[in-house]
Amino acid sequence: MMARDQDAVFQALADPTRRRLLRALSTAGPSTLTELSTGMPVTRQAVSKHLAMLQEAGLVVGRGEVRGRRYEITPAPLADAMGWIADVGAGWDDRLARLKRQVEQRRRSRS
Amino acid sequence: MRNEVHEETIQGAPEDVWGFMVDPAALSAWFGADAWLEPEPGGVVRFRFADGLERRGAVERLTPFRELTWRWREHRGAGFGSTIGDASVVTIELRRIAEGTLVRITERPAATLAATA
Repeated sequence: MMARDQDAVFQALADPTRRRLLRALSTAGPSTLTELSTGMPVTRQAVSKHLAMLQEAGLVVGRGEVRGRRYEITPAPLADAMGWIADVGAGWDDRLARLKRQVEQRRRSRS
Repeated sequence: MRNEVHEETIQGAPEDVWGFMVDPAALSAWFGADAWLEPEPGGVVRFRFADGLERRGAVERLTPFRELTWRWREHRGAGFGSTIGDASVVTIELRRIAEGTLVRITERPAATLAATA
């Protein structure tokens, strides 16, 4: 996976509304923007923007004409893998950055 | 699934970095968790995170200044209603390079390893 795609996935999964949309799609199956907006605490325009980000990250695809277009999660194994990667990935990168800072700080304070 | 690899170049010799792997206090500081690790094959590995989650397991391989591998799984809660996650294997490799040390961390679900072994 390209680093840029990964960033898009991390970014897409970082937002609670987008995670909620993914959960809604995974339980309800393919849904329209109108269906998805019902029961969401944000406006229809906001849902539309979040869906665009999820599509850009490759987690969701829209099928059909603009009117009545149905959105669905990309095949489950891929989404699962991305979810797993996002969970541990963000953590490891943060940890490596801290490790670098701490090793180099200790080294500087010794010299 | 693909192997997920994370890398960082650190200015410092592998010997300097290694201490941060096997000293529980130093490990805790960069890991962001209360860490305990017995640096020997079969040694206990335990990380307690701020949100109450715990990851526990054991050291699988250890080559000083070169490689540390452990297997762990997530434990959430205790007793009734507690959950245990799937096991995964973490490998930390240190490689001496001109700039210092290249640290590479790989985490893979243990199920994937078993399937490809």
